Amino acid sequence: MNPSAHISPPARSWRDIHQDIAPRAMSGEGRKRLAFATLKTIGIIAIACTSLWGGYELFRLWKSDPVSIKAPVKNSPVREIVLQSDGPLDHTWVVQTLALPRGVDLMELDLYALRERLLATPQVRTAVLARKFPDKLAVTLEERMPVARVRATERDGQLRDYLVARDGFVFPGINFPADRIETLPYLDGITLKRAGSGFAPIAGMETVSDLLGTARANTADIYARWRSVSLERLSADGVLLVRAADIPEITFGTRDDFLKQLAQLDLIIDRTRLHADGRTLASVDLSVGLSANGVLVPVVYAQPEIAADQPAASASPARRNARPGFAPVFQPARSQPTRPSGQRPSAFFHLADSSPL
Amino acid sequence: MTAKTRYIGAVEIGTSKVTVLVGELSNGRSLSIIGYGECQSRGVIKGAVVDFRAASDATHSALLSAEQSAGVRIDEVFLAQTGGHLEGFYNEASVSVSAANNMVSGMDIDTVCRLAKSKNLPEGRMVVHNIRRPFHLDGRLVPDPEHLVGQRLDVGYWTVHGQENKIADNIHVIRGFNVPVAELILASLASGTMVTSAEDRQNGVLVIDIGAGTTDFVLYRDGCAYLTGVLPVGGSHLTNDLSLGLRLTEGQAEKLKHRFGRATVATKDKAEKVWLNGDFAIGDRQFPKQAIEQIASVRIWEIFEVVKKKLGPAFTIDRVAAGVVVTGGTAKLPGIAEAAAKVFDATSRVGELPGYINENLRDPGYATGLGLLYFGLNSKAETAAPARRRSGGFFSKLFANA
Repeated sequence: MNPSAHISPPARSWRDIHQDIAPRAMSGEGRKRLAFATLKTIGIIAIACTSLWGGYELFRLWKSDPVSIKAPVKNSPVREIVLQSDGPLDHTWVVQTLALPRGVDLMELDLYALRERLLATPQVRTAVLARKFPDKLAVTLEERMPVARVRATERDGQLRDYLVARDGFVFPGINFPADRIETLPYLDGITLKRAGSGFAPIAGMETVSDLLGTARANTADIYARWRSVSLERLSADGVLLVRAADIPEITFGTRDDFLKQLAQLDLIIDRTRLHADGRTLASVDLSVGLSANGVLVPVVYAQPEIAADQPAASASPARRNARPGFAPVFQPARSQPTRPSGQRPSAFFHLADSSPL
Repeated sequence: MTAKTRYIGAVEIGTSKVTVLVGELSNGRSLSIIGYGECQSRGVIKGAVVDFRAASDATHSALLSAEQSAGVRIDEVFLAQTGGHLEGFYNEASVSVSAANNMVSGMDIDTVCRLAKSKNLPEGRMVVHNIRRPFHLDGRLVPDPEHLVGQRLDVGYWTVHGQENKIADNIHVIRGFNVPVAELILASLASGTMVTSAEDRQNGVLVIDIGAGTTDFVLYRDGCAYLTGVLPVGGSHLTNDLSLGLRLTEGQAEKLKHRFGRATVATKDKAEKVWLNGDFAIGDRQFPKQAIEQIASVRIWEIFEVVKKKLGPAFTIDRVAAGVVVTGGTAKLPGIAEAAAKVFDATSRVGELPGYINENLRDPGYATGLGLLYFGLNSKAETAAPARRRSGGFFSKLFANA
């Protein structure tokens, strides 16, 4: 005899307790959770029903008129490429780069491969390709904008200018207007490394871009005289060296606000023009100089040109004649009223040596 | 949240506080404690809900706080169950091994287990736990008898049952937050698992969890829970005794208990007095330190005596080699291990949580919450693991009566 035949049913367990509870007995948070769960369930059911209905409609259409489903897919050659870009790349370039075979079907296009073809040009940052039925291919490009130039020696020994974007990418530059390119300063103090058919991205370009962008937007006349930006001391000292047409060396610190440094530079140039008795600035170091009573910016003045008939004191370069000095640039709230020209600003300039200024 | 990640809430609705821990269970195998919430308890006396609205507000506040600290929503709750209504009894059954070669089969094991668990309960009572004791095959203790050869298979179950209404109230408090209760676990089992090692449980150990309103205890033997029980007396009774004995408000008595309470009398000088507040302001009074210690120690002593009486002959020093472990919020009372050692005449210690537990949670008061998460991990791990033996397959049912 099997003993299991005489086993009485197990006693009631806590699991037999009905866990459902009336919403009235719930707390506010509980009711909120219940409402959220209900909405979620309704949403899932709605999505499932819509999918089923859509599937059924598609199936019905396929059964009744299969041609109407297949029609847009087949026999629809690409008639037009619609381009949308934020840069100078134009429709002709896109057509040449994509090189679609004549009469190719829209559904036969390998959009991934075509996208790769566009991205092979470093000027293109992102490319989105989409089929627009019945016969259009939509191409949306986002391009890299140049912030500086760099001169590189080609394999054949020729010198060639390339453009550098904010993210450090180096590219030849297609369809950019010449007047825009000519305003860009050159990069200095870097080593270009070849990578594939192009160059490896240049590190630190975001900082350079910030400086150049701030200068272009706020002090366009100063920016227009800039010829090159050197990244030589960027990683070691955190400074950027700018060579301008009128000042051989301007040092910008990357730890301070560029706008503030440009304002100081502007003030120094203005004061020098007014009070320097024809002397010119040889170098300005904006990366140092914060003190308790203002900002002390080390500047070096170049000696005035020696007349051709006067014997030169020595054959040393101009830098040897340069003299260091400190030009305090006061905070805007403390700025002194402008003195009439010709009056010596001895109250504003504290010189390290016995300069006549 | 990945598909195999679940967030478990371990909830202990105590008499003095509601504690919620949130565990992130990944793939049913690893668990991380990611959130914690605590709230002063209201509407709960001696572990039973007496004011549904107040208890719900306190519990939901703790749940919400835990969810906010974890930044996730709890999927299910493991709830600790305690209260004076919980009782236990032992029932055992035996079957003759059915196979001709006397090899124990899965069906024999299922039959003997079902027989041992099939005992009717009085009206209004429900099973909370069926705790199986080790199998005996022809009198020898075996952890798993399947495929062993023998003639007679015995097994016993310690069944813990409680009042249906009180259990339902606890569950409904959680359901009011719209979270399902996945497991109901005896508080003593949860805390006992955390403060003892597998070796302790194998050698035999008694764990006493003294909370504010109740004292839960569990006696382990041969690696499993042998006997459990709940006393409707806890740390709040110490406060009450001090309040009556020294004519203090409950708050003042609670303060004195924490500052000067001891489970054993250490002060020899009857004249030594302590200040109530120590700020010498109006209302600040002096009390004899020895009297405070005496009141506290007498109550603690009484709790241990009652536990010992409840255990009866099940507690013998030779069967409890690992001694007595005291845990719970009241275990922080100085000298409590010493008191337990004197009452039980066995080695005693205050339960310590494993070293891998975060330092902020390594307090005896959190032993139950952590134990609930441990149970959660184990139960989910069993679910995640492939079934070793399927009970009652189609063919076994078909030929069961043949």
